[in-house]
Amino acid sequence: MKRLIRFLVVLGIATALLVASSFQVSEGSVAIVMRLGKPTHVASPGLHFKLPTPIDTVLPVDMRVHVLDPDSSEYLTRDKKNIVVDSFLAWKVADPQRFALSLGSPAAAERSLTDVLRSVLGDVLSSQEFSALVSAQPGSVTIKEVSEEITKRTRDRASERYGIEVKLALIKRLNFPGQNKDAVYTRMQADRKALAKGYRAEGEEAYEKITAKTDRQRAEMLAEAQRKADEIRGQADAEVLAIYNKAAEQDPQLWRFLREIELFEASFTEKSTVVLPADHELLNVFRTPSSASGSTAAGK
Amino acid sequence: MRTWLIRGAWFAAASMVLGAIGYSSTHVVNQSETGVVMAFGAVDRVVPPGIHLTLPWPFGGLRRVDTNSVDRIPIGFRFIDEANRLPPTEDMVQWLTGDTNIVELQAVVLYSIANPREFLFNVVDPGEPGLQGVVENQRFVVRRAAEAVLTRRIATLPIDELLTDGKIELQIGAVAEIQEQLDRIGAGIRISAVQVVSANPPQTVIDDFNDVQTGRSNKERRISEADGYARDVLPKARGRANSLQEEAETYRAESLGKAKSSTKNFERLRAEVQVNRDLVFQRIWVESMQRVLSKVKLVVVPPGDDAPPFRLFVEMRK
Repeated sequence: MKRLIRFLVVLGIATALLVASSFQVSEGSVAIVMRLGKPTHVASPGLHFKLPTPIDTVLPVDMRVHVLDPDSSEYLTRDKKNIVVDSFLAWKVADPQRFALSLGSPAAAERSLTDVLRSVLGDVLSSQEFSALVSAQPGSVTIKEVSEEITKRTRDRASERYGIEVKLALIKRLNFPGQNKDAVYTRMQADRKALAKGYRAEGEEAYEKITAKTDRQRAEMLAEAQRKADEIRGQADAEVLAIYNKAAEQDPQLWRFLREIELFEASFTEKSTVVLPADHELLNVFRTPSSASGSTAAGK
Repeated sequence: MRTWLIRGAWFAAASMVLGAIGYSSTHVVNQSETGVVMAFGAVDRVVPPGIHLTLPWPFGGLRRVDTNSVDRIPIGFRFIDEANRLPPTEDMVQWLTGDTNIVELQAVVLYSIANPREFLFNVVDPGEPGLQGVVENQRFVVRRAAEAVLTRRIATLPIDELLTDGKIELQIGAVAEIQEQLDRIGAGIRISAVQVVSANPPQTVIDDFNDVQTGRSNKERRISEADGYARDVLPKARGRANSLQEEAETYRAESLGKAKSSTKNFERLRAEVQVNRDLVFQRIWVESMQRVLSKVKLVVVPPGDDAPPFRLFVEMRK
C-alpha cells in the first residue's frame, strides 16, 4: 500500500513537471516564449518544450485573418457630395512580437484599425471626385483603384505601428444619405418620364412617317396608272380616228350622212315624243295610195 | 480474497483507460467529407473519407469538413428575413449604379469549401451583429467580399443595363473577382457561381420605370398600326392602278372593234352606193326613221299654214 502511494506521488510530480515544461500551440496561432518576461523566440503550432513555468512563460497570439466590419458612415467627396460608405477590412498579425507589445489583443487591434480605416477613407474620398467612385464611362478613375488606394494606405499605417498586415480594405457598399436619396429618386423619375414621353413621341413620329409614305406611294401609283391609262386611251382614239379618216376619205358624203343619221338617232329615247303635222311626208301612208306621194312635201 | 479484488479493480481501470484511448483515437470520415487530423493542436495531415487513427484525446483528434456540398449565401437580403417574410432593408438591397441611379438588386453566391485546412484555421469572421448562431452568418467573409465586388461592378454599369442584359455580365465577371479577394486572405473557399435573383428599380420610382416600358410598347404598337395601314392601302392601290390600265385596254379594244365594224359596214354601203346612190341614201334614211319612230311617242297634229313642210317637234322628257 505504501508502495502504491509513493508511486502515485512520483507520477503526480512527474506529470506536473511535464505540464509545466511543455505547451501546445493551436493551429492558426503562434506562441511567444518568454524567459523571465523577455521574449526569446516564437513557436509554431504543435507540441513544444520549455523550462518550467515560473522561468519560461508562453503568450499565444492569434495569427488568423480577422474580418473587421465597422458601421457605415458618411463621407464628403472632393466635389462636396455626401456619400454613405460601408467598408470592411481583413487583417492578420504579421509580426507577433510587435503586435503583442503594441496592442496585445484582437479587440484592441480592431479598435485601432477602425480608426485607421475611418481616417484613410476620409482622406481618400475627400481627394476624389464622386465620379471616380461611380461612373458608367470606361476609362475614368474607377472604384477599384480607389479601393486599392484605401487598402494600400491602411496597410502602410497598420504595419508600421502595430505589426499588422492588412489583407483587404474594401468598400462594401455605397449609397446616398437619406435626404440626398430623395433628390436621386426625383431625378430618376424625371429621367424615366422623359424617356417614356420620348418613346411615345417616337411612336407618333414613326406612325406619321409610315402612313404619309404609304399615302404618297398610293398617290404615285394611281397617278402613274392614270397616266398610262390615258396614254392607252389617247392612242386608241388616235387609231380609231385614223381608221375613220381613211374610210371617210373614200366617200366623204356618205360618211357624213351616216354620222348625221347616227347623231339623229342618238337624240331620241323611249321617253321622247315626236310631234308631226298630219301632212308630213312620213305620214303619207295614211292617205290614199293613189295620190302622188312626196308631192305635198316637195311642193311647199 | 483481497488480492483478487485489487487485481480486478486494476484490470477494470486499465481496460476503461484503454477503451477510452481506443475510442478517442478512431474516427470515421464520411463520403462527402474531408478530415483534418490534429496532433498537439497543430494540423498533422488531411485525410480522405474512411476510418482513420489519430492520437488519443487530449493530444490529438480529427475535424471533419463537408467539402462536397455547395452552399448559398444571400447578398442584398437575408434568408432569415425571407423565411419570416420580411423585406430587405434599403441598406441591404440598394446599390449605386454607374449613372448615379439606385437599383435594388439581390443575388445569391454559391460556394464550396476547397481547402478544409485553410477554411478551418485561416479566417475568423465575427459575422453580422445580432445574427450570431444563425447558419447564414457563418462564412460571412464570402458575403463581404461579394458585396465589395458587386458594389464595384454595379458602379460601372448604367441602370438600364443592370435591369436587362447587364445582369448576365455581372454574374459572370463577379465570380472571378470574388474568388480573387477570398484567395488574398486564404479563405479556402471556392466560388462556383453568382446568381442575380432580382434587379429592380426602387419601389418609389417603379411606376415611372413601368411607364417607360408602356411607352416603348406603345411606340411599337403605333409602328405596327402604321405598317398595318400600309399593308391594307398599298395592295388596294395596286389593284386600283391595275384596273385603271385594264379599263383603258378594254376601252381601246372596244373602240377599235367598233371602228372596225363600222368601217366594215361603211365598206358594204360604199359598194352598194356604186350601183344606185340615191336609193341607198333614201333607204338609210327610212330605216333610221323606222328605228326612231318605233321607240318614241308619236303625236300627229293638223298641218298648220305656217308649219314648214319638213318640221319635227321634238319633246325631250326626262
